[in-house]
Amino acid sequence: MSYIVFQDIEKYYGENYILKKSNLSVEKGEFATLLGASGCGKSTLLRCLAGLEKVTNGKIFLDGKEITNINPRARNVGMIFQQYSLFPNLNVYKNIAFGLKMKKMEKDTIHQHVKEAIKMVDLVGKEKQYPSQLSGGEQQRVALARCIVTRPKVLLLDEPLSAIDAKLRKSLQSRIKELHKELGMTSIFVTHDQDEAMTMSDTIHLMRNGVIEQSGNPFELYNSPKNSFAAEFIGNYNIFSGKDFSKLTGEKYKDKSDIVIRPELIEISNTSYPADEKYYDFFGTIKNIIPQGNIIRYSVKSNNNLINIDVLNNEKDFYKIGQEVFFRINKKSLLIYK
Amino acid sequence: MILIVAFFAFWEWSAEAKLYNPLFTSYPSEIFRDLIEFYVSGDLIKHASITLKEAFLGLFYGSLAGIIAGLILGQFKSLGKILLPIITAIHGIPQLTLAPVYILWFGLGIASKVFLAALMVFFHVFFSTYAGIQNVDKKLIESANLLGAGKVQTLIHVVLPTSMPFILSGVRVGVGSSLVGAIIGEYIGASAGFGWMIAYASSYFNIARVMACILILLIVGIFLNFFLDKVEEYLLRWRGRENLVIENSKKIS
Repeated sequence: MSYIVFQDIEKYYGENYILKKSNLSVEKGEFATLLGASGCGKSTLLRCLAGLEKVTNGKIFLDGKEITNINPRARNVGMIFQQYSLFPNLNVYKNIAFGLKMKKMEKDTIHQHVKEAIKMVDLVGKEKQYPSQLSGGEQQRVALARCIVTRPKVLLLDEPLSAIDAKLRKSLQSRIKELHKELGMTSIFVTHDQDEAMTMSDTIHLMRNGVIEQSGNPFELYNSPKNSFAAEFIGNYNIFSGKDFSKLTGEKYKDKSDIVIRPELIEISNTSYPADEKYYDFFGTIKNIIPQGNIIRYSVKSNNNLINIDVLNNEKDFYKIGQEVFFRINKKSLLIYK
Repeated sequence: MILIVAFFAFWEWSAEAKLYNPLFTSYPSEIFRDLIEFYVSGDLIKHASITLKEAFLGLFYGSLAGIIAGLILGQFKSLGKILLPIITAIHGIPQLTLAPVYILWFGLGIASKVFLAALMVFFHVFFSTYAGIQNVDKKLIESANLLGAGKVQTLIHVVLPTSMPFILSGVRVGVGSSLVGAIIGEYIGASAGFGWMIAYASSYFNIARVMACILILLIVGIFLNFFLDKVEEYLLRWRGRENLVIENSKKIS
């Protein structure tokens, strides 16, 4: 049995369901991410594990024991919220010591653990400051220290970096990941940001409408999305209906199927390609250019279809808006979903 | 300070010049003379100690009951739903009209005044505590639970301190109410205290004494307000703005 198991979890509010027969397992030491759009049920699933929401049906197991109906305080689960949720009346030291104090540990032991945790999150010198005197990033680090100091069986992170600016978010992402490894923790991270999920996770569980659509490591999820939803959510894929793609290529595809193409697998050139039956060849006009740092995304209009093409920014091949270009798609790179 | 001196000077001058009937307000000079006499005779200490004792006891018991009731009703939502409308309805009854009843229940002594003062304080503190508890961030309570805190520990370590700004604002209003309660009680039936003294002096048209009593109450009010500021500053030292101000002033100095 896995370290954490969600078995047929259902959560209803009246007749509306938030989670529907969700099954999920997380191994010890794994960094798992629940990824999905707002309202898909990812935070609810996390809160069910913490015991902050009661499940309507199903069972939850942690470390071999069923915890479905156990009080949150007895679960030994640590949770970090988006809005930090530090106790405003306690300074940094006392916030971090709170969980140990509740466990009735001795003062000296508490002091030792808290000191260690403060060092881990680089907050030495800020012990006596109150949360209101700290920046968002510092507050979230206090929240992290407050959780890890109690050595929880699992660390739950409910969109902890959403309220933090982009640059700081990156450094906190790596700090969380480092601590996860250093302490050998098991962590479940909730986010709606696919880049964040890709960067941090060992396993990503993609959710939609209370159901887990696909689980896998970041490579599996990106390279082999299970359906067009997963492709669209995880990788900015080009998605065509079978009907449109048939018109575009002249070959017959089922009308109701979805044809999915990764933008970086499309080749683009200002000269025509030699005929090759392994490829579909197209001709179009550049309508938009989106620089993304190392990648440049061109939106090319061809037969009333807008196709995104990602090209490595090598500073040599550069196209302009309005320029006519040739591009081709390897037939093997197409993903077809019924 | 200049404004206060100017105010008294204008008062003295306008009363001397008979711009209005000085019987209504007396003269500041006469009030000060009366104050000295009031003090020298030992009456000031005697009456002030009675009124302040009633007010402080009323403030203490009223605040305590208000905080406890607010915490209980805030914690047990269903109980709150039942009792809140009843408490609101009782609060709607003017306490002045019930003061004779309290005197009948508790006698002419200090108990009836303490009860009236406590009751007046109770409502302010209760409503503000109740509002404070409703206002506590649910995530803080969840965090405390996940960190192993039980209901009582969460109440003591999280709910009560984070509701403190609300509770203190209730107590601040309660300070004035406790004095009003004590004085109304004395006014209606007593043999000592500022309320009794004001009623007694008014019946003899001794306006200087009435004004002297009011002046003392004003000074007591200012002192209590200052004291509450200090208490608030200490208890709410974790609040953002104050902390930042202290930090900045340290940096500047």
